[in-house]
Amino acid sequence: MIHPSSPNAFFSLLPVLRAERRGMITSYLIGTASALTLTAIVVLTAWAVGHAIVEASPPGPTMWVTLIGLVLARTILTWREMDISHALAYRVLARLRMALFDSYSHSVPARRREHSGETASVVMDDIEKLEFFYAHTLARIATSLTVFLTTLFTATLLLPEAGLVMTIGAITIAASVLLGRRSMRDLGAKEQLFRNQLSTELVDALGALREVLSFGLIRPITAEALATTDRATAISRRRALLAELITAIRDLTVTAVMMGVIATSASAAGLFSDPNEPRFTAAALPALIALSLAGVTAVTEATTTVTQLHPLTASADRVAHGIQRPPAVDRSPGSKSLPSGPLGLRFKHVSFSYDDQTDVLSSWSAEVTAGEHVGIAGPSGSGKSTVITLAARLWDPTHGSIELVPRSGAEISLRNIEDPCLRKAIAVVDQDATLFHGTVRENLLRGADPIRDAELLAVLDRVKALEWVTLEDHIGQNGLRLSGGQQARLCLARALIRRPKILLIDEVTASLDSETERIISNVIADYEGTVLVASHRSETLQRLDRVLHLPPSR
Amino acid sequence: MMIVPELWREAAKFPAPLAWSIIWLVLVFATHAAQALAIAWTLASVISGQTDEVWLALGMILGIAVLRLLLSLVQASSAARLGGLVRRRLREQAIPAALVAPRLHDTTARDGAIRASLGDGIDGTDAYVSKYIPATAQVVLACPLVVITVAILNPWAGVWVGLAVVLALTGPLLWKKVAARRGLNHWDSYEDLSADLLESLRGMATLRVLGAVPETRHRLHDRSEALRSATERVMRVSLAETGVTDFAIQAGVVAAGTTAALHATTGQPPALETYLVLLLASEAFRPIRDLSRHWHAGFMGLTAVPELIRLGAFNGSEEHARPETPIGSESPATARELRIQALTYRYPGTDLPVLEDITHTVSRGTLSAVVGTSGAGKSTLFDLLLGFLTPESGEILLDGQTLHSNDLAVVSQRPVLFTGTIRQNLTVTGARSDTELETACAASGILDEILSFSRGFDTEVTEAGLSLSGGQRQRLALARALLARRPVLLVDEPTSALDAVRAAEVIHTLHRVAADRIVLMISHRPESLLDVESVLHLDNDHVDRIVP
Repeated sequence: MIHPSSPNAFFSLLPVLRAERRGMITSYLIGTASALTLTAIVVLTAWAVGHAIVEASPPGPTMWVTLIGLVLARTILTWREMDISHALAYRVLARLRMALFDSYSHSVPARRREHSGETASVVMDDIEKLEFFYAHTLARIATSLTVFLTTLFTATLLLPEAGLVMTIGAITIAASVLLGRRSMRDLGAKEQLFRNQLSTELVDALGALREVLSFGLIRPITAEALATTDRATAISRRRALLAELITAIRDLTVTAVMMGVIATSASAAGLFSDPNEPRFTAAALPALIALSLAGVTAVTEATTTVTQLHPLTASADRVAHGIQRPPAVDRSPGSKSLPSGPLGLRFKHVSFSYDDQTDVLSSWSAEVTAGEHVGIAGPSGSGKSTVITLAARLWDPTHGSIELVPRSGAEISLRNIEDPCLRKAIAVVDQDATLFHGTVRENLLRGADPIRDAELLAVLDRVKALEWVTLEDHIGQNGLRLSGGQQARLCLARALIRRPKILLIDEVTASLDSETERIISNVIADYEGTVLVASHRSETLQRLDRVLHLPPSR
Repeated sequence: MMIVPELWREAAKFPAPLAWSIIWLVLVFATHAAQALAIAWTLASVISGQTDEVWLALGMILGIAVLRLLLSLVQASSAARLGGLVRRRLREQAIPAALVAPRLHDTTARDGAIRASLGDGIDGTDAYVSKYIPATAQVVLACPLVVITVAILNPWAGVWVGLAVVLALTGPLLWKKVAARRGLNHWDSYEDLSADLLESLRGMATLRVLGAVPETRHRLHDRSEALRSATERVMRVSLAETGVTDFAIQAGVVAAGTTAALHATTGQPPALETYLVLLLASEAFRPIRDLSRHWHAGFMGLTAVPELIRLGAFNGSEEHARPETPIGSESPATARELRIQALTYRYPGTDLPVLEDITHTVSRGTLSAVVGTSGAGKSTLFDLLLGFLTPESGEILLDGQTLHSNDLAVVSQRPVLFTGTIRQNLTVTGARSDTELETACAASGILDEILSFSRGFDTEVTEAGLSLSGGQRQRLALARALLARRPVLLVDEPTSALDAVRAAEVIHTLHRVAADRIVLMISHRPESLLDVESVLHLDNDHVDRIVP
């Protein structure tokens, strides 16, 4: 998906730099000192050569010492400037990464599913692309302008016409910043699109490795990735050509400025007219050329920087969008904590739709009293999973509210409860629950307070997992070392160790062998808190206190 | 000058684009040298007061500049082509090397890390291949010529420039080892962050309900900071390089310039010669400045190279061309029997085999089943049939021949669909007519639902098929397997996410399909096994705990 990239994306990313103001100023000062030193080295050398030729006067000791000092100073200044500006950029990138994660942690899963390969590509690839923006833009443009103004001033002192030629050249070059900026932006957006596509293809192929191998899809998948690479190459080639063309046009302008300076100074030296009253000495000509070239080159560098930003607009845009994603739940922090004791669950006129058109649930009300075990049944697509998702507060309902009901005291809406409190009170086990790369212990304790091993082992025993697993076992990403039944039991164990007051279960018994199904049903039946189970299996629903039937959605 | 031999070897596999990138670049440099000559001529003419020559020389400068414009465009084009070809080739080798069966059982495998290497890692080589390699060649070809020219004009100036060029090129080598070590650290941090990030994005719903977002944020923050400090460390080494190079360039130009100036005061050399020494001394460093600039742009991308080597991205074509099913080739349409002979398998690091001495025959004509408790080795048996695991002993034969993975179609327990349309998912093994699609979907009990979507078979499926319910995914996967036209069909719990009516339909379909292919089903549902005559019971007497 291409967002129309707006050049304003960069501006919305500037506030991140606010904390770095001091670094930016230091970077500018050192960078400018370094650039001016370089200009001085070149101009003084040219000056020495010019005078040696025309007046046969050798450079004096002062000149020698100055030049050596300047060369050393330049080396140190360049190094410092690069160090400061890059370190600054990397700090900003790290901050952006976390800002993106925060945004995603409030907005994923979105109602409209998106590809994790795509989101990963924003956080990793797009952010890296912005390194150039943060390291090389603002301070460097300011440095270039300072160098230009200094050299322009000096050149005008030496020969006013030369100053005029420089000014015209600089304006021409500055105007070239408008060249090809739309195409650059579009090409950048396309490149990003292909990067994205590749990321999606790779994540898909890796996630579906079993089917890829069993259907022999390695060739078509490789072919597809190569086709994407080819398309990306074609685009980068066009971008490289366009960039080269713009650079070459600037290069040509710089050459023209040099020719203009030679011509005007030759004229001032009286070459083309009567040499009676030369206003300018040819001895200073090499220095003047060096000076005007340094000034115009500085402007070229500034415009090149801006041109290089154009293709990055799409990345800046995506990062800016990523930071301002609409949250899946109301982000105003709830302030209420929960009373001790059992909790019931109440759905009050709850409506929800995925696409803002058809309601999956419309004004649905139900109540589960504390300690009750209740099932939700209904045909496919009637919203069983949606009820669980809403009760787990992954999303907020579009209308109505969901409340926790203590035995004594007033009900509290999910929206008003502090998140850590809510997460301790409610545990969820669903079909798509993720087991993470790491050990069994790490998985059980994810997000939980520290718990003694003895207690973890007791819970593993309850789900009859001790026969095949220890706390130290590495289970691999998505629990790849475990069978489906084993994964479900581990997910249930992970929910149980947090001793939740409400247990929400979505279709976990569906894909299990009868033994696992029996173990899980027993654990749920023995569980003392409130339980809400979405299932289509009569065997599972039979063992609950009562069953709520959802009507088919319209 | 930093040489990454692997990338040079890859670039050398495309001799024409490589040669042209270098030739055009050297010609671009020649225009710079010619321009230096023209400027020196202009300056000398100004001093000697020869107006005609001044205009002629200025005209030359302009002509040269236009010529350079054209040459640099052609150069940019061939360089971009070279970079693209190398990236393509690296992916061509690395992707099949990454998509291998051992990953399925590798607890250290992380998709996010591989995504980073195959995507950003390979893209990162572009700056080196398309810019740095031609720039290196330019240094080798152009610098000596310029140094010799300067030396002819003014031997001492030549010596200074020569020394400075050598310093600029060899100085950075002092840091080569440090750079390599820090580069490895950098890529490791990048991969770690990428892996954790992809995992937390995929599992965000779980993290949120577990209340694990703050702790995950903390972990990612640490990873992100580790990446930042690793990046800074790589950058600092690279900046030391920049510092040395910059020093050598400035010192070289100043030394050559002042030497020429001193010589000029003797009044011996013509002005043209002195100007030329000054300008050429500066030009001698142009290739080095280019090299340094491209290094700065590309060094971060090189940190992925060791990981790409490990992945096999640089392995020659011999290994790559391993036998694989050509697209569209269908294996023998039918087979009579699948024979499992004395099959034993033990996961590495465990004492007891999960399957021991299993012998069983599955025939065409009737539905067969495998039953057994959790962890009894049912899925392991399927992985052995599919060739994802290699048996410790025993063999699997199809009509007396060794079984190949392209003889099988499979419906796994948690089937995954690809991002794309339903049609694309159903036809992964080759194009099929709409009638065939409809027949297969009807047999799998999914046709009505597909037709009820507004876009029918062209409905988009999101990542891993998560936009569909578990039951829908399962029935689509069955349709996909039926369309694969393979003589053996393996189904793992085909009815687990289905209600009683749909489950009965699917079982009925499997019975029917078993008439013309071998169908082996894992099932736990007694009702699914009602009419199944051939049942292989696996018990978990041998079951050891899962592998560390």
